[in-house]
Amino acid sequence: MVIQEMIRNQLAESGWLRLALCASIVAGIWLIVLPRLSSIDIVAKHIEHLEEREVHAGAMYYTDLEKLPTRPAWIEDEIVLW
Amino acid sequence: MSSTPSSSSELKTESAPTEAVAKRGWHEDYAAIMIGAMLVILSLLVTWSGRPSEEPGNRKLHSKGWPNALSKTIDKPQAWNSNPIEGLTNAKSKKNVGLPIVLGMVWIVAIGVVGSWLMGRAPIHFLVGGLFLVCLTCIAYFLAAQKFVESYNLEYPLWALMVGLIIGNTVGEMKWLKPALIGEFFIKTGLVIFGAEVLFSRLLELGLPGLLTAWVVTPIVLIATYLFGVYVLRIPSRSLCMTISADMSVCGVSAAIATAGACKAKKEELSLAIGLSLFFTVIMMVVMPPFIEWIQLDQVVGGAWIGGTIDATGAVVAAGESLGKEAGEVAATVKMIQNSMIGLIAFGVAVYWAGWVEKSDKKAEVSLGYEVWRRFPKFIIGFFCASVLCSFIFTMGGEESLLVDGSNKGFIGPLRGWLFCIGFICMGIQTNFRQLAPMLVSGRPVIMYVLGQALNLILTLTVASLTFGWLFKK
Repeated sequence: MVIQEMIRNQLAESGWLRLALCASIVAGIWLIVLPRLSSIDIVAKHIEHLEEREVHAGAMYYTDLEKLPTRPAWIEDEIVLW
Repeated sequence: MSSTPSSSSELKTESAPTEAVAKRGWHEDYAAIMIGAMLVILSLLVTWSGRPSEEPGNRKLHSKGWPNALSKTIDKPQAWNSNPIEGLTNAKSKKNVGLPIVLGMVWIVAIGVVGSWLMGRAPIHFLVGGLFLVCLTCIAYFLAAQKFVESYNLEYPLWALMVGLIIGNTVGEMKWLKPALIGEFFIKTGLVIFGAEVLFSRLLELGLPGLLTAWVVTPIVLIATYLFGVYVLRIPSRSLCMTISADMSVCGVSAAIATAGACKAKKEELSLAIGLSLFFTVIMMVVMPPFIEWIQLDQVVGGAWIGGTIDATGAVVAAGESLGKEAGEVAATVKMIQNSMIGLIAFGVAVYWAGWVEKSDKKAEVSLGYEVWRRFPKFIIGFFCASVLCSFIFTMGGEESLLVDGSNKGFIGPLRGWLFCIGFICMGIQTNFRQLAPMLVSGRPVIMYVLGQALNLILTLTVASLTFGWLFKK
């Protein structure tokens, strides 16, 4: 029973260690790798373009967008036709 | 203290009660409907009470709808590049969003506490784990707000699943965390309030050309891909086929969540469908605009093609805008029409599933109507009713439409995001990907997605060229 308890405790501890390791990897990617990727010319231009036009590219649904979509003015006539 | 991730379970309904349903408590579907309905009504009332005195029906003046006082009680981390602290400030308005983020977390814990109580569980047991989960939710939101990640539409469900998977596969489901793992309840409550954002009147936004592009192609692709997956590729799980078909043909993650609930897909199946959708969305978002320019396709037709084929709304707008302003407008509006189809599609899938897919052995003893009702995922009714109510208010007039917009933009939308995000954290913790391993190795879901998307691309281009390029040419 005591041995079982010890093994269980060790497993739990190694779980927390593995969690710390995973968290460090994630932190490294998000704080070092991704900012560097963002500074690559083509990516930086893409981000800048989206910011200029106030496009929230991470939107899941249209209500998440900064501006609600509006139909182009010229299509009004077409809608009246039908 | 630790354990391995639990076995998979469906986005449960009445026919599949588990430990989540306590003996004397409500079923989680009813708890989700009750809480969701109260939140939608609260948001509408608060928005109504803040009705502007000057030109309340002027859409140009109130482009985001009427002000909603509840918007000050909820927000999410803003875009940041190298320092996550930047995410606490809105770059445009320079407003600090730290407090609204904390209050948003309080909303989620409060919903979890009330939900636990309604479901007959001790709210105090939820509280400890709930606080931990809501902190993880906040971390997932911060991961999704990194500029590189956000600009390529890698949405928060992906990171919420990742955070959950890391927890589930390292420290496991800790004893004190288990009572708080009510992910299905959070997702169902999120779906009920999501109904308020699904407005049927948006379907007519682009008139006949928009209807043809979105309404003719989408159902054909949805049904054809589903049948192809079930009968040609012989994928054993019909719910996986339906979830992938819906997220590919309708509008990505949001459609996947709604349809997975309607067809009782397993957590692993929903996770796989979302992963596939986001992966191909990034590729299409990058490749389609230069391809359209290369083949010198008309901007409007190109916008409609993008809107009808790229899964995620944000990616559609980003890709459309890179072609030009007009293409961006058409792309966003076509996608909005598809977005508005979720309600009807989820309802239709739920009826089909309850009545035809899950056939009962006791067919002779009970009527089909009773069987359909017994198996029907009840929260879909809440979702549908919220959609009908807000669509009705929206169509009443200019002022009322701004009431709905203000309610959705200021409170319902952000709250739905938090509810889905915590739901995905729970799903990640409880997900057992080993169950999907054989299917992934076979590659059949990927083949199904790719061929379905190919059909979608061909049909949408044909119809968009016919409508926007010929019949209703500018």
